[in-house]
Amino acid sequence: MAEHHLSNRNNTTSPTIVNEHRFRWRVVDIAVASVIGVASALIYWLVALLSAAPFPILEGIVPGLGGLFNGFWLFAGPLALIIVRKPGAGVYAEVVAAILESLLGSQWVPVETFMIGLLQGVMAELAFLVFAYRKWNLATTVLSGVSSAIGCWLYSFVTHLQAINITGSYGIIYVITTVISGATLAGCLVWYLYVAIAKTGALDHFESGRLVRMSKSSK
Amino acid sequence: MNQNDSLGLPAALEFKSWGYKHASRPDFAVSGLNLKIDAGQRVLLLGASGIGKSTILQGAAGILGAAWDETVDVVDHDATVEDADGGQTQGRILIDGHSVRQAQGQVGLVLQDPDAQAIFQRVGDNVAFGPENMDVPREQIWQRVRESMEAVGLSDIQLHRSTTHLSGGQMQRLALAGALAMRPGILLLDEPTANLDPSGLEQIAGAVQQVLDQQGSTMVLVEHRAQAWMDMIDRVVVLGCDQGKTDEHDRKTVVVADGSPDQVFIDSHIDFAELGIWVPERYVQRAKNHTGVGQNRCVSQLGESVEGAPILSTRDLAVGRDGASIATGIDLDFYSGRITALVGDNGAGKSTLAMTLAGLLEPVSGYVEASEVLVESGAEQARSSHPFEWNSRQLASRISYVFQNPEHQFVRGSVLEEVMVAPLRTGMDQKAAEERAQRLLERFKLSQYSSANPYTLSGGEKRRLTVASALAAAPRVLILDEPTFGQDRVTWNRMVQLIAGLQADGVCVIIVTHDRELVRALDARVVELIPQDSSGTWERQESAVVPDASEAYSNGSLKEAVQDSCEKETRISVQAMAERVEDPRPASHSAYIASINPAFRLIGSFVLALPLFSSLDWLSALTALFIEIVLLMFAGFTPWRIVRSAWPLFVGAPGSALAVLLYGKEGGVQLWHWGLITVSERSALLACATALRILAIGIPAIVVMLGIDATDLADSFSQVLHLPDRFVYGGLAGLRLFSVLRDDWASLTASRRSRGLGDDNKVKTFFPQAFALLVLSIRRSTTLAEAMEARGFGSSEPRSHARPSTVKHRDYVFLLICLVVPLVSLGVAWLRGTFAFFGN
Repeated sequence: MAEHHLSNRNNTTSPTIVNEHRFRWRVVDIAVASVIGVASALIYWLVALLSAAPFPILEGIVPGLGGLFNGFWLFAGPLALIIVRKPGAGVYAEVVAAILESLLGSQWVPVETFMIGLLQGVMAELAFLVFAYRKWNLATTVLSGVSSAIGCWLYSFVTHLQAINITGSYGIIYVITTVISGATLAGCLVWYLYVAIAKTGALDHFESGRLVRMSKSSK
Repeated sequence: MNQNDSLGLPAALEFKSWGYKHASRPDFAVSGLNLKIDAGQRVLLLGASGIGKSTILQGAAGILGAAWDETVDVVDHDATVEDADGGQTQGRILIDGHSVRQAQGQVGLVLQDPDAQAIFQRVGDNVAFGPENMDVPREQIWQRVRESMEAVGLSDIQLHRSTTHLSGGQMQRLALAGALAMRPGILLLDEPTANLDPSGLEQIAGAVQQVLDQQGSTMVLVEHRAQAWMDMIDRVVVLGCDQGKTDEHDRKTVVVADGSPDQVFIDSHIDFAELGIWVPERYVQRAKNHTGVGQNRCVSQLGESVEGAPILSTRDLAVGRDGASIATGIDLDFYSGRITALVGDNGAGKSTLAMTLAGLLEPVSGYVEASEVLVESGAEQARSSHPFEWNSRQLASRISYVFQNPEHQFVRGSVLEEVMVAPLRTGMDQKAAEERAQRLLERFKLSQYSSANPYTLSGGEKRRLTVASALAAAPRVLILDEPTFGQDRVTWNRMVQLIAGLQADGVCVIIVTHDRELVRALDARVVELIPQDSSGTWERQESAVVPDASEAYSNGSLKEAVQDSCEKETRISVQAMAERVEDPRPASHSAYIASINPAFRLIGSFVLALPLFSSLDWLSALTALFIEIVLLMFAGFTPWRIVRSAWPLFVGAPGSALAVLLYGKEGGVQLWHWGLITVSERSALLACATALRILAIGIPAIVVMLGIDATDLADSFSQVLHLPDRFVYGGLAGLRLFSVLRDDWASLTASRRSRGLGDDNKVKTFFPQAFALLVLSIRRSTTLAEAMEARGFGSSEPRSHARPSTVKHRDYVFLLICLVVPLVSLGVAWLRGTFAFFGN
C-alpha cells in the first residue's frame, strides 16, 4: 500500500509543469492572510476601546461625522490583498476576522460581523478585480479602501439606518465621511503600512515584499 | 496498511549537488552539497552560523519554496529551478531514492521554537494533524496519536487539553510526537532544545533516545550544544564552504570533516570556537572550550561592590500578573557592578519577577525599593522610590529592561535612530544623542548597520542592538531577559563579553536565564525560582549548599542565603504549575444547542436574521423577539443569562435608535426641531422599531453562537460544508495566534514604557505599536506556515479527518425553527398592516 500510495502521488503531479502559480495560494499565503485577519481583529477591538469616547462627541458636533472612524475597521481586506496578491485574500482575511470576533462573543453580534466582514471583503476585492489582479499600486489600494467603505456604509445603512433618508443631512454626511475615512485609513495608510512592513524583511516570502526591498536596494 | 508503512522503516537521505537560494538573498545559502546519510545513521550536523544548516533540513523536509512545482526531476545538475517563493533550487535531494515530495511523511522535522510548532489549540489535534494530511484512516490516527504521545512520555496528558498550559519541555515533546505520528523514517531536529531549560533538554533528548532505540530511525541533528545528545550520535559531519576561485559568489558547501564523534572532535584542524560550536565536555580536555570571562571576578566583585549599599531592593515583595501572586515574601538586594542571574524552569515566573523589578509590573504586595543613588540619578526628578510609580522617561534613565524577543522593542526605522530614542527622550540634544549612539554602535560592533532597518539584522545582531539601545539612556540597572537564547558560540561569547564589560562599568546587571554556561562564565550570583514541590536543579557542584536548605525555604518565603562569597545562591519558592486536569468545555449553556452541528448553528442564525431585514416595523421585531426568548428559555437559558450574554446589544441598539430618532424619516406630528434635528411621530416609531429589530436579530445570533469551539466549527466547515481544507485549517491555525498576539501587545506596551516612550498620549503610541504588532503577526504566520508544511499540510491530495463532524435530523429541525420564527413574525406584521418594506 505504501508503494501504491507513492506511485499514486507521482502520477497525479508529474504530467505538466504548472507555471501558472499566480493565482495559486501557497500555505504561507493562507497563513499570512488569516493572521492579518486575526491581528486586525485585535486592532479593531483596541480601536473600539479608544474610539468609545470620541465617537459620540463627533456625532454630536455634526451628525454623521462619526463615520470618520469607519476606516479603522476596514483595513484588513486591502492590507491582505496588497500583501498576498491572490484573488480572495481580502474576503478571506475579513471572514477570518469576523469568525474570530463571533467566537469571542463579546464585542459585536456574530451574524452581523460575518455579513459586514464578507461585504467589506468583497468590495475591497472589487478594486483589484477590475484590473484582473494585475495592478498593485497606491491608486488601486485607495480605490479598494473606498469601495470597502461603500460596503461598510451600505451594510450599516440597510441594517441599522434604514429609516434615514439617504438624501437627508445625516445620510449624505455619513456616506461622505465613511468614504473619506476608507480612502485615507484603509487605502492610503494601508499602502504605506505595507511598504513599511516590507522594509522590515517580514514579507520576503512574497513578491510584494521583494519588490519593495529590491527597489530600495537598487537606489 | 502493510507492515512497512506502519513501522516507518529507517530511510536513507542523499543530497546530490544540492543548493538553495532564498529569494531575498544575493547568494545561495547552500550550494553544490553532496552528502549521503545511510538508513539508521544518527548524524550531528555542524557548521558556522550562516552555512545553511537549517536550509538543508528544510530542504530535506520538503518545505522550501512552494515545492509542489517541483514536478520534474532535474537531470542537469547545474540547472536551477525557481519556486513560487522566488527561491532557486539546484540538484536533488533523495529519500530512499525518491524525490522529497514523493516521500512526504517519511521525514519528520522538529524546529527550534516550541510555541511556533503548536498549530492548534488542543494537544491531541496537533499530533493528529500529520496523519490527517497523509490521509491515514480515522481509526488509525488516534491509535498513532496515543502511540506517539506515549513514545515521548506525554501519555498522561489529556488529548483535549489546551496547549497554552504546557511547559516548554512538554511543548517540544508534543512537537516531536506530532512528527512521530507521521511514522517518519528520518527524523530531522533543528536546534530542538535551544529555547528550553535544562529539564526540558533532558526530556527531549530522552524522548528521542527512546524513539531511536525502538524504531532505529535515521536522525539528523543540528545543535550548537550537543553535549546531551552525544550518546546517540554515531556520525559527525562538519560543513564549511569552499570559496570559488574566480567568482566570490560561486561558493560551494563542502564537508570539512566527517566521521565518528571520537574522530571529529579531536581533529585539531577544526577550530570549533570559530564555527560557533561547544565541544561536548568529554572531548574538552583536548579542545579548549570557552574563554571564561568571569574568571577571577570573585575578587573584584568583593572589592568593589559589597561595601556599598544596594542600588535596588525588594521588601516582602509578592509578584504575579493580574493580581494573583505566584511568589511571596521576596527580600533581595541588588548591587552596582554585580551580576545576578534569575534562574528556574520555563514558566516558573522569572520574567514576572524581573518585570516587577524593572517597574513594568505592579507588585502584588510589598515593595521594590530604589536606593537614593538610583532615585537621584537619571533624567527628571523622581518623586517616588518605587520604580512602578515613575513615569516612562524617569524609568528609562534608571532601569532598563531588554526583552527576550528583540522585535518587541523596535520603534524606529534605522539602527542609529533606534539607539538614539532613549537619550532624546531623557532630554539629551540631537548631536550629543547621536554621538553617544555612534559610540555604542561601535562598541557593540554594529556601526556598519547604522542606517539599516533594525528588523533586517540577524538574530545575534538584533539582540546586541536591543542591549545597546537600553544602555543609551545610561541606566544604573540593566535587566536582560534570556540574552543568549538560541545563539551559537561566537555570538554567545560576544554577548558574554559585553555583559562582563557592563559589570566593569558599575552597572547593576540582572539576567533572566537558564543558560548554565552563561552563569558560570559571568560568575553571577544565582537566584533560583523553585516550584514548591520540587527541589532546585541549580546547585553548583563547587558550591557548598546547606543540606537542609530546601527545608528552610519550603514555607513559601525567602531568605538571603550565604552572603560571604561570590558563590551565593538564593532560592525563591514559587507556585508550581499544577498538573492541570481540564474538563472539555461545553459547546453551549443549552444541551440542545450544544448538540447542534456548529455550521448549522451559524447558518441558523443567518436564516433567522436575514428575512427580518426586509421590514422595519415594531410589530414584526417585537413578535420575533418574543418567540425567540420563549424558545431560548425552552432550550434552557434564563432571561438573565440571555441579557448577560447579549450585553453589547444593549449598548449598541440605543445608539442606532437615537440616530433614527433625530435624523430619521419624518411624518406625523413634529415633536421637536432644532437645527438639523427633527423628531417626529414617525421617526420615534421607526427608532423604536430599529432598536427592537437589532435585539431580535442580535440576541439569538449571540446566544446560539456562544460557546462554539473554533476547532469544531472548522471541522464542520470542512466536512459538512465541504469548504477547502487548506483555507479552513489555515484559518483555524491563525485563530490560535490571537492569544499569542494579545500577549505580544502587552509586551509591546511594556517595552515602550521601558524605553521612555510610554508617556505619550494613547493615540500617538497606538499607530507605531499597531505596526509592530502587524510585523510580529506576519513573522509568526510565516513560521506557522513552515510548521504546517512540515506536517505535510498544503497539497491538494485528499486528507482524512481525525474528528468527525456529523449532521443529524435535529440539525434540520433546528434550521426549520430558525426559518419559521421570522416568517411568522413578518406574517403577523403583514396581517396587522404594519409591514414596512425597508422602513417605507
